Amino acid sequence: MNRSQAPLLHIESLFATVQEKPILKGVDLTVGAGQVHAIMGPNGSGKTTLAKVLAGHPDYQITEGSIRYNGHDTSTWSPEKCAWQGIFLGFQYPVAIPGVSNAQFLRASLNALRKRQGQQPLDAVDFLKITKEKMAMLGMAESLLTRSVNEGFSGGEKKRNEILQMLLLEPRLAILDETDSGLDIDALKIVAQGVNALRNASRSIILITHYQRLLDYIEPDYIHVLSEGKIVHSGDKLLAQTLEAKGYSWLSEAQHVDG
Amino acid sequence: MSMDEVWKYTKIAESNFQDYAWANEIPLAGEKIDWETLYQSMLPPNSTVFVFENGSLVGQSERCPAGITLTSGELPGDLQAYSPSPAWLKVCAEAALSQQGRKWHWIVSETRTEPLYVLHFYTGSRSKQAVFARHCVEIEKGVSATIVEIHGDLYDNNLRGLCYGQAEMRVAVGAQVQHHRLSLATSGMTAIADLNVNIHDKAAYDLRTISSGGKQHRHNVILSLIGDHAKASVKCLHWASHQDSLDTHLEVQHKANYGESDVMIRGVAERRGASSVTGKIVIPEGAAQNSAQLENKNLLLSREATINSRPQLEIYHDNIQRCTHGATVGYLDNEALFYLQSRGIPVAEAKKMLIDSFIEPVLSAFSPVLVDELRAQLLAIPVPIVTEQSPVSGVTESHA
Amino acid sequence: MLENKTPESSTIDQWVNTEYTAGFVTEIESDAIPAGLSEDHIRLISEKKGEPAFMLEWRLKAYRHWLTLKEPHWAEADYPPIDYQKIVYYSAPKVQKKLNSLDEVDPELLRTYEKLGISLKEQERLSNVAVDAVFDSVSVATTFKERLAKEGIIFCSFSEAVQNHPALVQQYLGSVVPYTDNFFACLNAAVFSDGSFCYIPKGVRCPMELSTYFRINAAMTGQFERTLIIADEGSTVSYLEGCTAPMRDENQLHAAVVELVALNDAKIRYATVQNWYPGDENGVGGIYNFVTKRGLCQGQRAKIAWTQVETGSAITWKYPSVVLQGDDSVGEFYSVALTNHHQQADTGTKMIHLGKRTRSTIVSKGISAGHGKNTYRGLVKMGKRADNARNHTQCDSLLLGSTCSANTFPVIEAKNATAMVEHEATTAKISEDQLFYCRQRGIEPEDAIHMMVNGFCKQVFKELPMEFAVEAQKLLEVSLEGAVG
Repeated sequence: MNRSQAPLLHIESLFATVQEKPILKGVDLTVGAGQVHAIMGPNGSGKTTLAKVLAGHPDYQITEGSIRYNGHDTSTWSPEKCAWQGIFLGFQYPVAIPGVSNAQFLRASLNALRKRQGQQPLDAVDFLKITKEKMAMLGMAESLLTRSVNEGFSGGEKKRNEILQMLLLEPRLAILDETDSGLDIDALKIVAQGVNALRNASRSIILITHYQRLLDYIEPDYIHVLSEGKIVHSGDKLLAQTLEAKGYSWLSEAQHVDG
Repeated sequence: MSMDEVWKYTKIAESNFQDYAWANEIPLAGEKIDWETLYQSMLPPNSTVFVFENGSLVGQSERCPAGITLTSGELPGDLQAYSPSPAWLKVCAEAALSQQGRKWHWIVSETRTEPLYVLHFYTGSRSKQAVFARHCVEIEKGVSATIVEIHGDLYDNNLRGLCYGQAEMRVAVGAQVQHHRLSLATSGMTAIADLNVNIHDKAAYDLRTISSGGKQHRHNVILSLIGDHAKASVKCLHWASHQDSLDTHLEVQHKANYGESDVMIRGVAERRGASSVTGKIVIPEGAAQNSAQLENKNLLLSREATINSRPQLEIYHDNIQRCTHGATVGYLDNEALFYLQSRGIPVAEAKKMLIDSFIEPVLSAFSPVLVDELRAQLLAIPVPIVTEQSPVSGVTESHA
Repeated sequence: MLENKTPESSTIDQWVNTEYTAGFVTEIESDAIPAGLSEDHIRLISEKKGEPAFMLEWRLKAYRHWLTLKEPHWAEADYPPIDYQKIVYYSAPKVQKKLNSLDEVDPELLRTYEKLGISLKEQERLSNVAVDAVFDSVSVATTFKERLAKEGIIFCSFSEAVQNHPALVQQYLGSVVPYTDNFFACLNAAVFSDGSFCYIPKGVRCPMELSTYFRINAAMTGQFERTLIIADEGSTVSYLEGCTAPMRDENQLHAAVVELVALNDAKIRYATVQNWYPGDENGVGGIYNFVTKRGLCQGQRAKIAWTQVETGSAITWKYPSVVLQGDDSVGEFYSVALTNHHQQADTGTKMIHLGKRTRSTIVSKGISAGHGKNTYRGLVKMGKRADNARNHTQCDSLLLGSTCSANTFPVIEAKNATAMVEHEATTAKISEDQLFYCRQRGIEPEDAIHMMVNGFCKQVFKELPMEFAVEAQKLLEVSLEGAVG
């Protein structure tokens, strides 16, 4: 098979558990290069689990099915290997790391990736130059570089920091887990701007979100609804508006009628 | 911690009490007291109350409360084994109590909305009397109760005395206990109290204590969270005035999983008083996901007073939620004082406000009837302004 | 590349196990006295060193006092009893004559220090650090002597100081740590064989870092060195101390004494990177490090700062303290103590505030991994005359694994209402969430742990001289290796 024609991500009837509790119960999803997919769904439907499984979180076990990313089976990959291979997860709740400065963390991360890509590590001067440019674009204060990672950051600062990391690491597949939650409209626009800046023909993005709101600023190619561990409905960007108007319960009813 | 360390700030050598008489007479060569009038004057009307004088039950409110049984005789369990009190004192207590049959066993089997008041008085007009008391309280499964203990001695200030109380409490599965303890001692009294509490699954135990006065006023508290999801909360106040020495030794043992404890101890030392606090949190191997915090703040209000503080943590693995302690010692916050004064509040008034806010978190747990008078007394003390002085001649401290 | 998604070492317990790189033995002939302790042994030590009468007298007084003392067992440390009659109290590399320059030092010794990364020759040529190297019981070489002498600074072995500056030694020896102080300090006073001596004259700012490097080599030998630093009015000195020992199965005793005296406006910074052999992963062997370190801020506005990074020893008992006697004097204590395998560290400080407006800061960072046991023990005392004195203590523990332990035992004794004391303690661990976050950003678990551990210690490392901070950071990484995965 010619790899360039294969989808970047192909998930087939994926079952996954955390602490032996089944969460994903047969997810099928195909994301082509350059596409933006939105995954919506009620609380507890498995959205974050899907994101963590894709990023290789050790607490989540794949019990059935497969993930093929860029032609590789990722089920045995460590989280860092996922990162090195270009999978980026924007966290819903970015964790604080006291004592480690944001700059130190970002540089360690960027250089870890560069090393695997056979590039020279960036020195402090070049690193700061690139980082400050991207921070300016996201409207971030430079003081956030010297503070400990996410420690004492406001909700908006944490989310922007996630987007900053995405812009620096330039992933092939970015999964943004509820990056819009807790943001005011101005912050949301800036975050969307950051994501849109990264869109290109070879890069794919999965947006996990609760609300239509984000999709007004980042236009998805496809929208999927995840419910009880399965994708129950897929459609184009208009689906989001229907969901917004009718709620998720409409889906289960619709499913009934269909079935 | 060696026994010398445990008893660093309170010295109760056996030799100092050898000429004491082990007596639990009622009254101890004093006048008979009309208990009913006394407690009616102290407590809210229609309270459920039991009065003990020198360890013996001498009075009881008319209503015999439903869901409470009180018997005397041998007690179940042996929590006393863990008490850090010196062996000689425990031996004396055991000997005296066995002879006199003054070991009390309480069972609370029904939820109570009104507090249960237990008053302990030590009376006598002779010096060098020692009295003992022992109580075991069982709060049964799922029961909620509030127990208010009041300890006081009716001694003349020039009399020496020793009282040693031992108490243990079992808080059964899902039970909720509010335990308030007010202990006021006269200046010749050596008051030692042990309290050991076992807290079972999903049970919650709240302790609020106020201690004031006493030549040596020592409280040993050991709280064991032996069931999963057990909770303990402690708020204590020491007020050391005159030449009082108040000393609390508190241990919280997190022996099960998902335990939570929160300890706040506040000490005030004024005149020549000394307040000492040792607060220890222990999280042994195998006890997972516990969270514990301990705070000891102290006000040092005179040049002659002393504060000693020993907050301690002992942790034996990394499977913890959160574990912190903190301690401070100092005079009133000068910034706050200045702020209040700049709003036109006279300095004496401002000091009172600051002291009141310092003791309020503990006092607020008690019924106003009980503590209003105490609060007024505490706030009435003159607080000197302590400023830098020229070196005191003659007194030099050695560091060797 | 780490292919294993859930490495078995995902728990923090398994990560320990790098060789102790300083664990080699130097083959060198040594001149030792027989094992055991008696007045005769002490006379012999004093005689070998050609000491003046006051020294022998002082040693004998200490020895007689020591006989009345009992070995203390109050620290949170377990160890089998020490047989003091089996220890060799004096061991020196055999030297034929007095050395005039480094060229005359036994090349085997120089190689030893080179292997340890301390090239004495190199030091003399290139760096700006003056080193006094102590091998077993005696000082083998002191570099940069001439340059220091130009400033009037005396920096030499203790033995030389006794010979050349007896008045200074007699005036200050035991003035901060009297021989009656404690069991181990008393033993040291009786038998100490050498150490470093340093005097900075009035108003002199010492132009370079002074450093002593301690090495225990001979088997069954105790090391009892003594360091005395006197900073005269308005002078400034920064002092570094490093320690290593060969790997041996038996435990070796190190009972040193350090005395610092700071007069008016003098400043002493004393930094230690302690990497004595910690024993193997089963807790066999290693150094017992029972050390008494104390500084006296004798003058007004004097300042003494202790910084320590402790990664070695089987058992460490150490409480570098400051007596703040002069008004407005300042005491500081910055410490990182790491225990892995079966190491036990019981360390902390005492800040004794006697003078007015004295200030002290304590920052203690304890890291426990493996079966390590880490105890902070501290005393902050506000004396009656310590008006407006201030102390702030920050005491943090980092736990790595399910079998390590961390204890915090601070004591505050305040007798002055204008003084203020603040103590804070926290206990933390590295959470799986933090680890995953770093790994998701491509950082390998070991690197992530190093980053977080170094972050935890940052407050202390920034108090170390630059070269030492880098060394400390590396030492920490090596000592932790295997603890996390």
